[in-house]
Amino acid sequence: MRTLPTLLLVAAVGFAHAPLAHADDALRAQVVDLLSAYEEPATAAQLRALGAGVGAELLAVAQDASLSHTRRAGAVFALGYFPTEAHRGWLSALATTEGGDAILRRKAVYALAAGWGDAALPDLGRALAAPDTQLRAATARALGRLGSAAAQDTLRARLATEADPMVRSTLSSALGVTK
Amino acid sequence: MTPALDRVASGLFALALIGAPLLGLAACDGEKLDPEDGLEREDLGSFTTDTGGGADIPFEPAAGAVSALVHCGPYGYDTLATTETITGPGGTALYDMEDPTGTAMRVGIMSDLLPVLLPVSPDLDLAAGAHSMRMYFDAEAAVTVSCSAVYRTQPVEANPAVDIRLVFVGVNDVAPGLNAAEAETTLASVLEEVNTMWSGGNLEIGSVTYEDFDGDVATYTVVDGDEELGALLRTVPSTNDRSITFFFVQEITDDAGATILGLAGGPPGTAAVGATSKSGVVVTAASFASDPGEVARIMAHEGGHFLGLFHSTEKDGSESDPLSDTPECSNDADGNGTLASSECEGTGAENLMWWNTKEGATMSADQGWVVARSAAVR
Repeated sequence: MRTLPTLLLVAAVGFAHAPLAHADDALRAQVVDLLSAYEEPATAAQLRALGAGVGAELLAVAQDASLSHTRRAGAVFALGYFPTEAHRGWLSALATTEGGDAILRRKAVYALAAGWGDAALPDLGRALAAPDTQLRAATARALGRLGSAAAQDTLRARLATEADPMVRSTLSSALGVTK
Repeated sequence: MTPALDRVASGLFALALIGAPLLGLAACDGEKLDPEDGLEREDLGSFTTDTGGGADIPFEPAAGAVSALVHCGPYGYDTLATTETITGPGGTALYDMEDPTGTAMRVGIMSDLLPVLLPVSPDLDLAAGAHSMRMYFDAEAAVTVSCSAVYRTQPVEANPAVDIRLVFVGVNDVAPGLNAAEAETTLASVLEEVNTMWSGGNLEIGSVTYEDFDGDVATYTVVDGDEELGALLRTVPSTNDRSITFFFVQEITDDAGATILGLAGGPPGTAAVGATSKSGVVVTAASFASDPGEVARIMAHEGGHFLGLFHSTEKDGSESDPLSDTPECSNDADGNGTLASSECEGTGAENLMWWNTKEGATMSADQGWVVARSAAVR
């Protein structure tokens, strides 16, 4: 008989903060509306077209535990379109802290790779060694999309020690991906 | 709560969460239809593209058929295909991609397998007799596909219902903090909400079955891209059961890693045809604990796609469905290129097939007319 993994019970509280105050309710509504699409995730262009303050609003949505997981995940991912140092610090902590929300951590590694490229490799390397196999696989995909020589080196190094078949397969695929 | 959902509430998600074996059919408030009653299947043969990259597919619904589902494939994920033209008896033009909104017909652009459903609007009903569909493939080399048709000859029921099959793929951890009983109650409420959203179109859930996925859970817990999606949908049994299979996964991602809330084979899916890359629906269940209503909206919306419904209005306003009772919104008041829900209040955003998960959405009567003709609906 299975039981709910303890890790995921911890994840229920990890990185869930009280809703932050936000100055522009209309902007919040527009951001959340874009993050609620069924099949087409919000693009950088669509979010930027909402005007100034979108990056800060995305961070507030990402931290708002009263919102659905998918909206928060969309916000975390989209922070990669708004690469400020504040966003990088928050994403770095999210991606590399054990016990955090599994899905949000995966979005954080994609955002770090997209927004900061090789500068995010130290964080991505740590995520690639995390206990969560789905996080390792997501990190491998993110590195594959990054496509730089340093990213490829990171993937090869992990492949040399990775034991999980699914992650090994993802690492191999990522090494075959060209930018 | 409907009788069917009463039974669902007896142990659904709890059993899936703690590793129940396949339970088989839950109860239903009516006799289960013989899968082949009221359906006629036709192998249309193999077709190879001509020098123009197209292939002409003839098909002929018999008198009394209320819908025709033609599907051709597989042609892989590096090729996209669509329909150039469809002509009906006597050469009647039913669809022309040069004027895609000129008739009350819509088609998709798809990789691997292209299903086309007629009718998708009460304004262009299916006629008996010889039809021809010209497919176009975006491929440099010749493409050969196998085509088949499913004709629904069963008359439309006064109270149509669709059986659903729920398959749980590595979703234990989408319900952190919920015990089994709470998860079970939550899932029952999700299904009840689907029924509420479908009720505007007079469609309801029939029987419900549920099971743990018995394939490669590690791979499909996160469905990453088109090929994985197609491979998961191909696990729907080829027994051609008349139902919609909903796979609950942790999340679907696009090629960049962004989360997609749900994807259906199609529109339309290959209703009553299993083992194709368009044989079901995949639902991101990440919000099961934080916002179960969102999971319900994903199921109802993607189920609508599977049964032949298109978006009432696309996010950028570039396309709309062919139905006369679903408002077509064009009010991009702020000129930012996106039709926000707030810009289309009362003019489309309240429809089930709106492009996002706005709460309170329902199916329209015309949408109900379309789905009642699906081969998956009894």
